[in-house]
Amino acid sequence: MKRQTITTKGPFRTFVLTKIAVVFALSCSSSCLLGQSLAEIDSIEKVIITQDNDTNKINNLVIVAKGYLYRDLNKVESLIDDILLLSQNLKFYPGIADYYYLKSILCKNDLNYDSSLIILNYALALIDSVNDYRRHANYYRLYAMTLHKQGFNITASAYYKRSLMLFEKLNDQEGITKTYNSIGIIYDDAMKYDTALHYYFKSLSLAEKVMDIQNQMPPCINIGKIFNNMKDYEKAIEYFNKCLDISTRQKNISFIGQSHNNLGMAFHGLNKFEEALKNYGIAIENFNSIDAIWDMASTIINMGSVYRELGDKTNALKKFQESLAIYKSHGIIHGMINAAMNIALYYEDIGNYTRTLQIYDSCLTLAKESNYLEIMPKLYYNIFKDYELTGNWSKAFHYQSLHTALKDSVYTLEKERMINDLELNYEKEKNEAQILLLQNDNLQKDIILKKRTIQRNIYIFIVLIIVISGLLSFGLFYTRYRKNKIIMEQKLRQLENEKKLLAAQSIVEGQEQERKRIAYDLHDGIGILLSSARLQFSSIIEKVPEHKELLDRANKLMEQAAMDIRKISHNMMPGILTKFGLLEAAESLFDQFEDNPDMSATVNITGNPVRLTENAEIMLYRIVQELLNNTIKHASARNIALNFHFREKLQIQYSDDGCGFNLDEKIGSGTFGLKSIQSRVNFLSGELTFESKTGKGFTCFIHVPIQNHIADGN
Amino acid sequence: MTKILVADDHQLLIDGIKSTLEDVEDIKIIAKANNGFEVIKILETKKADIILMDINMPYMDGLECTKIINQKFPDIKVIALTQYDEKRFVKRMIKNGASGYLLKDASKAELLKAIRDVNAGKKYFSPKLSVKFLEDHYQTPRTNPLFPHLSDREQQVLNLICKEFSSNEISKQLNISYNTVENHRASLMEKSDTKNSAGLVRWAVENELID
Repeated sequence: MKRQTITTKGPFRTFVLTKIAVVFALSCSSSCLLGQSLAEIDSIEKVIITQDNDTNKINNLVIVAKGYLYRDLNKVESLIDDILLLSQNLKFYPGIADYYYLKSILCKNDLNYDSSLIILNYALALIDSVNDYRRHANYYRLYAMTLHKQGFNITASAYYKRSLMLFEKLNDQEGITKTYNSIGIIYDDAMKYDTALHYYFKSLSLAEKVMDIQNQMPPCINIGKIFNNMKDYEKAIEYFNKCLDISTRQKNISFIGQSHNNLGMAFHGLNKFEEALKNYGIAIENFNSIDAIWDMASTIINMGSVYRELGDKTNALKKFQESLAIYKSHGIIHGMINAAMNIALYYEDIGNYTRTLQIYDSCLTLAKESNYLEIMPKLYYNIFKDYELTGNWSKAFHYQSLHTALKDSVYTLEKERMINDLELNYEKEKNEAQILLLQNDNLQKDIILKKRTIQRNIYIFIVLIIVISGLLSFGLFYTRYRKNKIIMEQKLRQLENEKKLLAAQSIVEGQEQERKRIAYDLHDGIGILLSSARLQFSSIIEKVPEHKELLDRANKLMEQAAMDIRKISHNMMPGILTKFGLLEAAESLFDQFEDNPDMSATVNITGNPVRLTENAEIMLYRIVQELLNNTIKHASARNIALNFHFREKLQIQYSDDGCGFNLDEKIGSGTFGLKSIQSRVNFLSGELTFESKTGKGFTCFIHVPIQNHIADGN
Repeated sequence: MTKILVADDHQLLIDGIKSTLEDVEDIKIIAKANNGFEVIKILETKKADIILMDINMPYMDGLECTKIINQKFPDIKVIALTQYDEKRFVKRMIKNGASGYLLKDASKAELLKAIRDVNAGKKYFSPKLSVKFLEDHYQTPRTNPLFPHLSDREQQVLNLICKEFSSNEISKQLNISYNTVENHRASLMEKSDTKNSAGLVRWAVENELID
C-alpha cells in the first residue's frame, strides 16, 4: 500500500514531504502534553487566594502557571512574575528554579530552543545540590524535549531516560507515562517503529492503569500514526477514534483537532478522500478556535495534498497558498518552506519547471537564512530531480552530489552536536569535579577551623589560668598587704605606746625637775634668808639683852621655820640624793631609825654598784621612799631590810616584818601607793612583784634593767 | 688674829657672817669666795687659818674643796657651814678633812666657839646634828634577819643547790617530792631574777646567803 503522497513523482520525495508534515503533527502532540485539567487548575487557584506567602503557595502558583501555558500567555507571564518575587522574598531557590523552568517552556514554545536550554540550565544549576527528584525529572524532560526539537535525538533520549529514572524513583506515574511517550517519539523519529510502539504502548497501558485519561491521548495518536505509517489504516483509525473519544470527553480541542487530522490522513491512505477532507475540515475548525496556527496550517497542507490526489489542482494550490499565507503571517519560516515546496510541486505538475526552480531557489535561500538545515538535502534532491526532468544534466548532477554530501553531513551535524553535548557533559563533570574539590577545600577549611577553635580554646584556657593565677596572686598580695598593714598598725601602736611611755616619763621627769627647783628655791632661797636673819638675830640678842626673851622666842620661831623649810626641801629633793646618789640617799632614809632601839632598818649593797642617771636614781629613790612610808604608816614593823644587788639588772628587795596586808584587797582598791610604785617600775621598764600575807609581813622584788640608765662618767 | 675665809655662793650669808663677826677683835675675814675654785685660788696668794666652807657651791662644792685643801694646805682648817644636817654630809666632810661642822642658822656664840675651838686644834660639831656619827662610823653592820625573804624550805633547797646536789638528791635529802623541789627552785630563780642554777648560785654567793 502506498503511503500518503504529496507528489506523484518520486516516492522518496513524497515520503520526505509527508514526513515533514507528520513531524510537525507529531511535534504538536508532545507539546500539548502539559495541559492539566481545567477543574483542577480552578480549585488550586481558589486555594492560592487563601494561602499565606509560603513555599506551598509558590508550588501551587507553578502548577497553575503550567496549566495556563496553552490557554492564556498573559496570565502565565504575571503568574511567573509573582512566582519569582515570592521566591526571592522567601529565599526559596526551588521557586526561582521553577520560574526559570517556566520561562524555558515559554522560550521553547516560541521556538527559541537555545535560549530555552540556557534558561533551563539556570534552573538546573539552582537545584543541582539538592535531591529534588521531582524538579530534576521535569527539568530533564523539558531539556530532552527541547533537544528533541533541535534534532539532538540521541542526547534527548539520554535525558528522557534520566528523567524516567527519576520519575520511577518518585513513583510519578504521570511523569513516567509522559516520558515513555516522549521516548517513543524519539524512536519514532529514528524510524525504529517497533521500539517506538513498545514505548507508546507502555505509556498508554500505564495511563489506563492509573486511570489517567489525559495522558492516554498522546500515545493513542502516536500509536495511530505508526500504524498509519505501516499502512495499517484500520488499526490507525481505531486508535485515532479512541483519542477522539477521550479528547471529546475531556473537551481538549487540541487533541480533538489532532484526532481528526490524523483520521483524515488515515482516510487519505485508504483513499477515502471525502472522509479525509471532512475530517481535515473539522480539524481545521478546531485548530482555528484555539489559534493552533501550526496545526491548522499543516492540516491545510494535508487537505491540499488530498486535492492534488483528487486532481483538483486549483483547490490544492489554494490550500497550499492558504497555508503558506498563514505560516508567513506568523513568521514560521519552516512552515513557509514546507508550503512553498508543495506549491513548487504543483508547478511541477503543470510543467512550469522554471517557476518550480524559482520557488526551490527561494526555499534554499530561506532555508540557509533560517538555518533550517534539515530541509536542505530534501531540497537539493527535489532540485536535482527537476533538473533531471528538464534534461539539465550538469546541474542535476551538481545538486545530486550536494544532496548526497549533505545527507551525510546531516548525520555529521548530529554527530557534531553530540560532540558538543559530550563536551558540555565533560564540562559539567569538570564542574562537578571542581565542586568536589571545593567541597574538599571546605572540609579542609572546616578542619583548620576546628583546629583554630581548639587553639582558641587553648588560648582562652591559658588566659583563664593567667587570670585565675593573677587573681590568686592578687589575693595573696592582698592578704600579705593586710598582714603588713596589721603589722604596721601594731608597730604604730607600739610606737604610740612608747611615745606615751616617753611622754609619761617626761611628765614624771618634769615633776622631779620641778621638785628639784622648789627644793633648791626653798633651800637656797628662803632657807638662806632665814639663816641670815637668824644670824642677825643672834647679834641683836647680844646687843639688846633686855629683850632677850622676846628675841629668843622670835628666834625659836625662825628656827622652826628654817627647820620646816629644810624638811620640805629635803622631802622635795633630798640633797644627798642629788649629791651622793641613790644608795647614800637610801641609807640616809634608813638612818632615821637609828635611835629607835626597837627597830632595825638596814641597807645592803652587793654586786657591782654603779651610779645611774639622775632621773633613774630619783625614781628608784621615790620607790624606796614610798615603800618606807607604807611600812611606817601601816605596818608597825620591827625590822626593815633593803637590798641592792647590782648585776645586768639591778635587783632590789624590800622587806618588813610588819602586819602585812591582804594582797588581793589592797591591789583592788589601789591604795598604798602601790600603783605609783608600779608605774615607776614600768617607767624604768622593770618588773615588780609583791608578797604579803596578813600578819606575815611584806616583801617586794624589783628588777630593773640598768643598761640604759647607767650614768656617764662611771 | 685668826684669819677667816668665807666660802659660800650666797652673798647674803657672807654679809650676814661679816656683820656678825665685825666687832670680834681676834677674828678677821680676809677673803670671800663663791666656789671651791676661788677658794683655792685665793689661798695661793693669801694666807688663812680657817675656812668657813659651804657645801653646796657651784663648779666645786665644799666637799671636794675640803678634800683638796686637806691635801694642799694641811695647816688650814675647814669648818663646814651648811644647811645639810644629814649625817652623810657630816661624815663626808669629816672624811675629807673638815674639822668642824656648823649649820647655817648657828648663833653667833656657836660660831665663835667653833672658830676658837678649831683654831685651838679641837674639833667642833654642832650639837644640833642629831647623829652620833662617830659611833656610826665604827658601827658593825647588823645582820638583818629580814633579808632575803626566803622561806625555810627555800633556804634549804638553795643551800643544797649551791652544794651541787641535783633535784632528785635534794628531794631525797629533804624528804619532799621532786616536783616540790622544782617549785622551790623556780621560786628561788624568780626572786633572784636568775635563769638557771648557775645564776642562782652566783646570786646566793654574792648576797652571802649560803652557809
